[in-house]
Amino acid sequence: MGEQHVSQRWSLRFPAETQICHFDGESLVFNPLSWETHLLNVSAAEVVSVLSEGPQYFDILVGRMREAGMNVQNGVSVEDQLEGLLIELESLGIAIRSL
Amino acid sequence: MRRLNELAPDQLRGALQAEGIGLSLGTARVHIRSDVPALAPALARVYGQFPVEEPSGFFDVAPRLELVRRPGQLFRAQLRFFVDGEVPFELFPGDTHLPLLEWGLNWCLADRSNHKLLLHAGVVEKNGRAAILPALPGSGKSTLTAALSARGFRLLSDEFGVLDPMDGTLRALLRPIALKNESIEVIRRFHPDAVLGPRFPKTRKGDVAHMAPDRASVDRRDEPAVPHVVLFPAYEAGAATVLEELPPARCFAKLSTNSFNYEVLGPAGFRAVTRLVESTRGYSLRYSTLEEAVERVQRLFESER
Amino acid sequence: MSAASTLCWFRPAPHIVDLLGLLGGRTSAADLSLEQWDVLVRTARRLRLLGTVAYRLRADSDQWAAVPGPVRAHFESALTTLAFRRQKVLLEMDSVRQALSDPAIPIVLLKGAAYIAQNLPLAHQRLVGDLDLLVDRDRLDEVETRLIDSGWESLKPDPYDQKYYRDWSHELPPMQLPGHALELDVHHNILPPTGRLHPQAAQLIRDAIPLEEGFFRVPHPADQVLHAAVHLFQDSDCLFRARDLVDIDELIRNFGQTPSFWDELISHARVHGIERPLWYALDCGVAIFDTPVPNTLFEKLNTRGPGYAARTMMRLLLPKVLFTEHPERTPAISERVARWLLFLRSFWLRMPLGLLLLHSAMKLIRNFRKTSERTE
Repeated sequence: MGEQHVSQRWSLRFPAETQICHFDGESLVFNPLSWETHLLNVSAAEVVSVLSEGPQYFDILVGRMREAGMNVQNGVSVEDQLEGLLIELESLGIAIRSL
Repeated sequence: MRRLNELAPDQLRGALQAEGIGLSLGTARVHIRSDVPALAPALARVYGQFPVEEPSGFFDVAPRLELVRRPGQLFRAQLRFFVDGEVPFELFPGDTHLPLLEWGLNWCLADRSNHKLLLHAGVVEKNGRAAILPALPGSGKSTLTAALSARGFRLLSDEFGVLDPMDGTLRALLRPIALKNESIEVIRRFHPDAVLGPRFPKTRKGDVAHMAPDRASVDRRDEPAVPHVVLFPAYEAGAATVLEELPPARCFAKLSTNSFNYEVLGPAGFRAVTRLVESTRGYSLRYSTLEEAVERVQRLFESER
Repeated sequence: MSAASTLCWFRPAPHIVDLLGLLGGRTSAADLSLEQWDVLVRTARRLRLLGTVAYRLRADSDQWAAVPGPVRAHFESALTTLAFRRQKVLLEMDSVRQALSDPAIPIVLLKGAAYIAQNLPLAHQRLVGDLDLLVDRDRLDEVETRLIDSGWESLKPDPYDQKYYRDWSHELPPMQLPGHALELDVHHNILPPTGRLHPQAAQLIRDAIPLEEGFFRVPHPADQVLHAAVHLFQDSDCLFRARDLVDIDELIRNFGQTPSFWDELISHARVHGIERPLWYALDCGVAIFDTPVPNTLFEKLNTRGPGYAARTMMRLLLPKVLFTEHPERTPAISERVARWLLFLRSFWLRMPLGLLLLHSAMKLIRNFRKTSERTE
């Protein structure tokens, strides 16, 4: 399933207004669309942090997440975990697929 | 300037009926008028230490508490809270004057204070360092706030903890502390010198009595305070006293849910709470005996000196 | 333009003078006493104009600096509230876009949402209470189904309400996405079919202008002014509605800079048959806010505007109705009478008598049932 995502690019929807604040183990992100604040786990926070550097291809993101320590968990591949996180961030209006 | 409890009862009653009285509560200034005779002695008691100001200049809220007699209800007067030409909520029973005034002031102040972060919290201060006690109703916030103020802490507020999002300081919004049900007797026993107003039975929040802020707190109501700890009180009958440090992210989440307008402030709210959490320590405080809880907070303030 | 002011029919009450002066940039903030600010803030709050005053003061750094601190706090609070509500509109627009964009249905944003989508100065000066959309009547059911499939829920599930809205109203019963702050009102016209005027909804949609973002449209500038005018003078009792005139004034100051705007305003008003409300709106705008309207426009509207008697009557009543009384006084008898007359007028314009009686009777019966259920 990773195949089709290799060329997909992801970015923050409102990069300048997305604020993130890290505390040990947990992070909070300010959602500039809904003005809600979300509590993020380490992996989701890492995704937002990487995206805040600029738009990223999916496979680059996979590499960055591996570097940050994301492993196969309960038989779920890093790609699938990442995809799940991205879709969740997309539905919150934080992340967006770009061309 | 004379304090409210220095006015003769008739003088206060007359002033309320005519031009009204001005009160500075710290970050807000209110102009109160009323034709309810029983309100005057109640006000004189629970706002007793506040200087009476001329009813002129600019006011943040200028309510009028009025008796309403409807045809067919000749003997059962009701009260209405009238502000700026409108009656924002339903009539209250005639004998609940002070609770209605306090409730109405809360409603107006909450509606008009989105330039500040409003926490549903008590705030007390000692040696320039403030404790914020945010909590949902029923968690013993007011009781603990009242108890701390009785043991030498300066009271800044009970209902609204006011944080300036620009400089991160806390501002006083000094009002009587509304004690409910058992808390009334608890505080009477804990601090026999406490000045309590009349007891209002069976309001929508149960029995209510208000504790007057002490003189020192009133005189210092224009001084801001720097946040030092955030304490989430949780009263639990029979529980042992437990003070536990909270992870900052949890403290953030709990602060934002215990705020009236966190979301309204948007990015400024996020920055203000981030700064607050980074510059303070957060704790949860479970307690059943007030003495022990107060002692733990005092120790906390001493140990972190 | 200033011809009207030589013999102006509008003489503001003293407590309104400062408010109008600040709004128009004529009054210097430094000249106002704290007592004047007190009355002004209370009056502006009640008229829902606090944010507008705040926005205009802040736009001028000298004025803003001259506002006393405790007063400025109220303006800052109002601006914060405005920004929050504006964001809620943007969020709601985003949700609607997701629900209706594939395959796309032509959706026209109305009123506040349209001002926000065009980023007009007005968007930062007024509170938007709900999201109003206009869709073609033939696609109403499809829109409703797709919104409900995307999670919106009707706020009027009562069958009588549902039927009432569908038969007699120009919109679906209000809907809301659970957890969201705003209501969604899906219109198929800008006035109820039962009223005396019948704007051509299909034409409004045809004339609408697509936004750069590619999905939503906004009404033609002339139609935005016309909608605000009918909203105030055809679909309301005008009570304390100076706010709506501020909108009209702002819209005209914005769109009036385009030379073709004025001819389009006349021709669109004619197509939709809403020259009378437009006449009143412009007449009030010129008299109260010095709205820049070319004199020739009134001449062009004249034959289809209100007659001499109606004009005189409205000019007599409106000043007593559009603004609130002084916050420390109760309304004068003349004000009460004027408000009552315009209240009657609004019913006359909105509903034929028979329907009004039927609807009132139904409401009465239902209220009676509810009360008796409660007492049983």
